[in-house]
Amino acid sequence: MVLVTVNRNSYRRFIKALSVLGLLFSKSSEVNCMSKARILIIDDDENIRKVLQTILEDEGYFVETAETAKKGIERSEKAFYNLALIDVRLPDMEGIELLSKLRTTKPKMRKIVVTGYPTLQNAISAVNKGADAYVMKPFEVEKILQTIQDQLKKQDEEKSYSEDRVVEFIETRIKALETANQDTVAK
Amino acid sequence: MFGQLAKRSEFDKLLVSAIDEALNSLGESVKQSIYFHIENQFKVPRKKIPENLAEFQGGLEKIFGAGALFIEIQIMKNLHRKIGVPLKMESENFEFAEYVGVAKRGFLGKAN
Repeated sequence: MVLVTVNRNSYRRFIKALSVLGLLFSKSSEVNCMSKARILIIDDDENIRKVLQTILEDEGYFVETAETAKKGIERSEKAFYNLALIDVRLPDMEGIELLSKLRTTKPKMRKIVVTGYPTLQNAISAVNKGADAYVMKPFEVEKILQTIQDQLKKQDEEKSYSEDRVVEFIETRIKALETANQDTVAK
Repeated sequence: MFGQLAKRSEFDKLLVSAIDEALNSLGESVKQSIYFHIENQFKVPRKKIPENLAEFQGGLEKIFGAGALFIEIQIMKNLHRKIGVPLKMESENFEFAEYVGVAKRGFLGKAN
């Protein structure tokens, strides 16, 4: 293979310029991501599912629902969701147990626990099992929308951080390839 | 003859677009970084990828190792969606360049 010398300074400037552009992109994509985020509602109460779905779809989110933990798990396995609203009491599994499972299988999905029985113990268990936020029934629409927005923003920030790590990984791999090429030429 | 050339060119554009979409899913800066290094290290500019598939595939695999497979599968899914030919994973030993060849033949055959 031909050894190619990349000018690191020009590459750094290039990536820096991209970062600036990236900021511009992220602003528009953040709005885009916020309005088109995919949300999964897991609640056995049909009225709550319907009301929440209507409210969230009116806000521009893509919403799907599941009435049991099992169906919620199945849906989350088949499709990507940015965020899940999880009822703490489900017919086939405690919401806290479901949280624990989803924490392992879907670590990137933001998880908001919903309960009509707010106790300190519930809140502590939910957070310990991987809940990102906690909302109470009956819903205050503004509050739940704000909580969802906050969680999606945090998810977006995590995504940007992950992208930076991938770019660093690529740079490291390229350096390793260059070094290996240099060693081969030297031999 | 001209029609066939036009179809080949259309396929190449769809392929580049499918690659763009797959890399975009990793983030804009990641996509630009991959294109930058594929061009500088492996001498394959973005628009020349359709003519240098094996080199592009080799570059991805050198950078990402086994992880390249996920990017390649995503590219294939995007490509098959764009050309309207369903993706069939006929072998467990997925070979990106071969699949693109099959997709291209399917697309050109469909066009005739």
